[in-house]
Formats: sequence, C-alpha cells, structure tokens
Amino acid sequence: MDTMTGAGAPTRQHPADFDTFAVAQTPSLLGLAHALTGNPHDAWDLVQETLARMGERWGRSRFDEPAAYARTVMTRLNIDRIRRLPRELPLLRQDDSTPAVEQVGAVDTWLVDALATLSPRQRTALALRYVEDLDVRGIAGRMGCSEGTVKSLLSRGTARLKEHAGAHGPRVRGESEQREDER
Amino acid sequence: MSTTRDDTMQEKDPEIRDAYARLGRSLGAPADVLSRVEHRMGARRRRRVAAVGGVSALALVVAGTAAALAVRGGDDPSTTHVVDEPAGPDGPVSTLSFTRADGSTYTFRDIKVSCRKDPDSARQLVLATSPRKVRGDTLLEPFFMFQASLDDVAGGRTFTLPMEDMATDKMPMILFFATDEGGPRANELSSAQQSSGTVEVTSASCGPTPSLGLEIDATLGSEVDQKAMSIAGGLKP
Repeated sequence: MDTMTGAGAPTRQHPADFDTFAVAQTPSLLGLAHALTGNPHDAWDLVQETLARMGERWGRSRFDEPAAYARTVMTRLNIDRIRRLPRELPLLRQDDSTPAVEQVGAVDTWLVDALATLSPRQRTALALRYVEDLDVRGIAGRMGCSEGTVKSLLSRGTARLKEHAGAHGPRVRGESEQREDER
Repeated sequence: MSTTRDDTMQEKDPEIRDAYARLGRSLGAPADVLSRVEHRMGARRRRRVAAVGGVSALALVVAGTAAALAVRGGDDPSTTHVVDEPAGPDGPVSTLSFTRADGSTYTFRDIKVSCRKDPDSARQLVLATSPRKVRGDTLLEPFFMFQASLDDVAGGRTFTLPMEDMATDKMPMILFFATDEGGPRANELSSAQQSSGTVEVTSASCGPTPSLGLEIDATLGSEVDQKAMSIAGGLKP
C-alpha cells in the first residue's frame, strides 16, 4: 500500500516559478553532480533528489539564494547518499527505467577512472574547487567540515588525479566511442 | 608531478581544470525534467507514509492474533481490517486529539507503545501507535504514530518543529496522523512536512514493558496536498 488511503498519481506541489528554477538550474546541477559522483546515472539521481527536496519546500520555505542552497543540498546528499541510496533507489526508481541522461560531450577517461578511486568526500571537495570555483572556506561551508579537513581532501585528491593524468591521460572519449565500448 | 597543499589552494591544475570542464558539459539533461522531479517527489512522499505501514506490519507480526488472520483472510472491501491489536487496559493514558473540519474533536484513546530495531541503522526505536483500521484503501478511524530513536529521547527531549534536515534526510523523530474525513482521500499529516510547534518526550524506555510519555502541541503539514492540521495533548505511561 502506497499510502494509508490510496496512492493516486503524483500531484503538482510547487508553483510555476519552481518549474522555471528547476529547468534553468538542471544543466549546471547535472554538471556538478557528474563531478561529484563520476557516474552519469548517479549524477541524475542526485539532481532529481535535490530538486525534489527543493520542490517539496518551494513556496513554504524562504530560499534567499535557491541556486546556492540547491548546491549545498546536493553536496551533503552526495556525502550521505553512499550510505543511504542503495536501499532507497529500488523504491525511488520503480517507474523510472528509462535512461534519464545522455552523453552529449567528450569526457576524459583518466578523470572518470580517477574519480572512481576517490572517496566521496575527496570527490566532493575537488568538484567544489574545480566546478564551483570555491575557495577552502567556501568548500568547508558547503561540506559542513573544517577548513583543515578540506585542505587535506584537496591535497590527497589532487595528487590522485595527477597520478592518473600522468599515467593514463590525456585521452578524451566522446559519445560515439563510449557506445562502442558498451557493445 | 608533485603536489603540496599550497598548490591545491592557490591555483588550479590546468589539465585537471579542463578535464572537469569537459566532464561538466558531457551530459544532456532529460527533456522531461519536471515530470521526473514530480515523480521523485511522489515517491518520497509514498516512502514516508510506507514507513508508517511498515510499523503497523511489524506490530502485526508481534501481535500474532486474530487481527492478523483478519488481514490475511481476503480482500473483500466490505471487511473491516483491524491491522493492529488494540492496547490493553494497562496501556498508556492518551489525551492526544485533533479537531476535524466540522469542529468535532477526536481523541486517540487507544495507544500502544512498542519498541523495535531499525533494520537500517540498528537503532532501537520506541513507537506509539493507534490501531490501524482500514477497509480496502479506506481508513475507517483516525490513525496516530510517533517514532523516535530511544537513544535520542531516553533522557527526555523536546523537538521544535520544523525539524527535518532536508540536506541529510536524518529525522530523529516522526510524528504522523491520518484523519478519517475528507472525501475520497483522507488527510495524512506528518512532521516531515512543513510543521510548527513542539513535541516533548517526557520519558521513554524499552524492555519487557515499553513506556513512553509525550506532550504534543503541533501543527503538521499534509502529505497529500491538503490543509495542515493541529494535534495536541499528552500520552502518560
């Protein structure tokens, strides 16, 4: 049973300006999410979850800077999601089998490979540094940790990326090549 | 290449910077972003309420009484399914009540306190629930549920609403009730929605005879796009 009194179809819970916000922010949120997760499907899940949480509160909570708030939500969700999402995704994805995102541009395979070897917190710190262009203080604020922790995460994460870039890169993979790989 | 903490602070490595830029542009968003987000919102809402159903199902297993047989007996919508065993005469005294739209007041007299392990976190949870009486998908009587981590409330604790941390989804307490009015779809209200007021846990313990004391004065938001409703009163062991 979905609810105490029947499931019904999802209903619109948010005013039109949330729609505008969501559509406008999705590309950049998706870019950040891709850097946070290193995985297209996880990236979309993160964007979808972030926007869903924003939508639930839209019109009832006051967001002074909704775009920045969305990125904070996304950042902390990404740190938390490693523990939580595996058990939630089967439920959340129940009618969501269609691939949501498509590869439209080239990626550096060494970066994707390197991101897979990093801890979620290292990926997060690096994404905020390289995608969001935040300084250490800004990253610490987004992640909810100390500046010293951020410095350590950046230092070790950067070293790992450079190792991969030196050993494997640069090699850029585009959409068509990825399709070949999947065959 | 050598890396120091300083060079990560002062300037970005050009090769890494360019690779991140390409990564950020490499995915195309789906055309139906809004419908997918709405679907996720609906799934999140169903998950919250399904958690309440899970509570009741567990109580059912523990009770193992004729009520369980009634549930398994079939899907005849004319059958009243008493899913949860009512509290016995030694149960807590409840003055928890809410006011319906027509001005009448309903008091949750029959509250049962129980404990169980959270399967995800292994935390010990303490719960207070009323019997859940349904016919098909129709709720026949108002339903009440409170759930908290015993470790968080054993020494007494006052929760000020709203309290959900939407960034981490950690909810140390869930207060939920559903009404038996409102036409084809009853109202379902939860502290996970936009809420206000306070929920005070005056005492809590598990063991052979679980015990819970509550003082509630709160207005909870609707899980099903209806109006917010207030609930007030106490639960005394």
